[in-house]
Amino acid sequence: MSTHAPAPALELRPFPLRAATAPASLFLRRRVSLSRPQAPVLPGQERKKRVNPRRLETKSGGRILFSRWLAAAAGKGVGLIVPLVVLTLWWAAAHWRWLPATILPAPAAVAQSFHDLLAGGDLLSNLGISLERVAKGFVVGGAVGLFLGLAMGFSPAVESWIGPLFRTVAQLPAVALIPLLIQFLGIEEGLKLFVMAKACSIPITFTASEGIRSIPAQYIEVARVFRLRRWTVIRKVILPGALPSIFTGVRQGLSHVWVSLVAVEILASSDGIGYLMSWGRLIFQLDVVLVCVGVIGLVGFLFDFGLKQVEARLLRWQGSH
Amino acid sequence: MNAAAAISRHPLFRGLLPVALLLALWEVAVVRGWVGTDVLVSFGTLYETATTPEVRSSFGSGLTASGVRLVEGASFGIAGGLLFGIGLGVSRWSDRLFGPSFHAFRQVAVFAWIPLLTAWFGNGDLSKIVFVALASFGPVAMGAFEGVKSVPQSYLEVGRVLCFSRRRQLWRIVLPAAAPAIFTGLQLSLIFSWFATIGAEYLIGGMTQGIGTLVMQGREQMRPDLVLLGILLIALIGIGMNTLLRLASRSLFKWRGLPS
Repeated sequence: MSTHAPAPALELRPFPLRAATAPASLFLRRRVSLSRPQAPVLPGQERKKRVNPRRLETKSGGRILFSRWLAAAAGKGVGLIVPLVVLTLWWAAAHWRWLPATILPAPAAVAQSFHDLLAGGDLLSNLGISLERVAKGFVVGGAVGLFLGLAMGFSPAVESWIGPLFRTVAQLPAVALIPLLIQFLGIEEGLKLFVMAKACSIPITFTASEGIRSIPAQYIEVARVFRLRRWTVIRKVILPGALPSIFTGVRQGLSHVWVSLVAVEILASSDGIGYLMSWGRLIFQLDVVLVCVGVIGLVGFLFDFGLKQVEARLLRWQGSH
Repeated sequence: MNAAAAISRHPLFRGLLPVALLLALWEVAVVRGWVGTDVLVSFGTLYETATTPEVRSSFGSGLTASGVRLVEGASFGIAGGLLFGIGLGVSRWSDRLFGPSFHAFRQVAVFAWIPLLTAWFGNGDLSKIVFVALASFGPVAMGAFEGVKSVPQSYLEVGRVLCFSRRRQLWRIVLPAAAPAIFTGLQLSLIFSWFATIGAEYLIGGMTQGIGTLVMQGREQMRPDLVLLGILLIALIGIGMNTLLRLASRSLFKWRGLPS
């Protein structure tokens, strides 16, 4: 039999009152002010003369204020400098005939042709046709993408069956497949719809399935603790949680739709904004081409901007957005 | 029974089965005549075409021409994009100055530049190279910009504490911290420029060689086997590039110890 050593009595140390009475911030502040960071002196390097940062601040205080004011004004105005410089150079190049007008039409000519195209209805009718196509492609592609993404996000089995194939196909942009698709679908609306839907669905599928899978397990556990029904969990926990990620995909999808539509319309179309542009190129009216480039950029911007507004509205409950 | 269940659960089996089914459907559809031979050809025909000497030589030289174009365009675009993006990320003034114009420029669908480029640089090699450079500029510039911008403030403070010069700060802290984002942009740019090369060859045409041009010629001559062969090659190269780049990024950024 071995005798157990008596268990040491639990020692109760007096609570460190000192720390409790003095606020932690006091210690902290004193600490920080005591040790100013200093660069270690590397061999072969002399320590630089120390400058009191406070003095520097007061000495150039006026400058700092001025630069802050300048920065505030700049935030809005400076971005315009580059476009203005480009515009001036462009105007000068056209005015003094540095380049022939067929190569670089004058800004005024582009404005005039913008006005003509607008007044003649060519621009709006072609843009309308393109936008209608975008709407169709976006709806179809979005529906397919959401369906696939939700299926792959919710079910690991679906993911394991079609995930690898999907990820392989996703690496091929629709535009690269156009000649093959023309063989299947001809050069009519079917081709455009397919190309746009393919371009649109891929980012949405990715972000939707990612968004669902990356929902923290705790959220699901909370839902389970509350014994929520499956549908309620999906509607109240999973979908709202995945929404920000899905929206990123939707925005990317719409921009891909627009890019690929322009490509298809240049390659194979008899109407639409891309056709108008390639027609302008064909008859060497670069002012028409430039108007179309501007309109295409503007539409792309408006798509992105509009969806960002919708996103901010939808995700307002998140607070940080 | 158990073995069959184990196989059916194996990820490789599950991944490959849909591919095999699709390929089988392709073959059956051709053999049974569900689709015309002007749309799809059987694997046998495809193999025959691929082994014909003149096809091999024309595809070989086409691939070389496209590859050269890709390298020429992408090296300009990527070098420019890197400099631009890092500059924009490092200096707030250059961001204010060039940022809005850059973002506006990015809104223009990239193919919309093609008619303008052909008017300025002709239908030859030059406009294609410029287009590839243009297409590869955006993603890498964006990646570099966001990577540099999102370097944690605390890292920069370490540099300030150690009294780093601006150049040292850039090389020792900012660039290594931004490297993964920059590489992601680079990866995107390279893939983009491959498909931009192909897109330029489809859309610009002209008398230059290239794999995209061969595909378009195959379409005009009603040779679906050439179209299929070309697109298969294009797809395989794109996927191969993507895989290699992903492996490279994984091994390059192992030192960060982050799951990627």
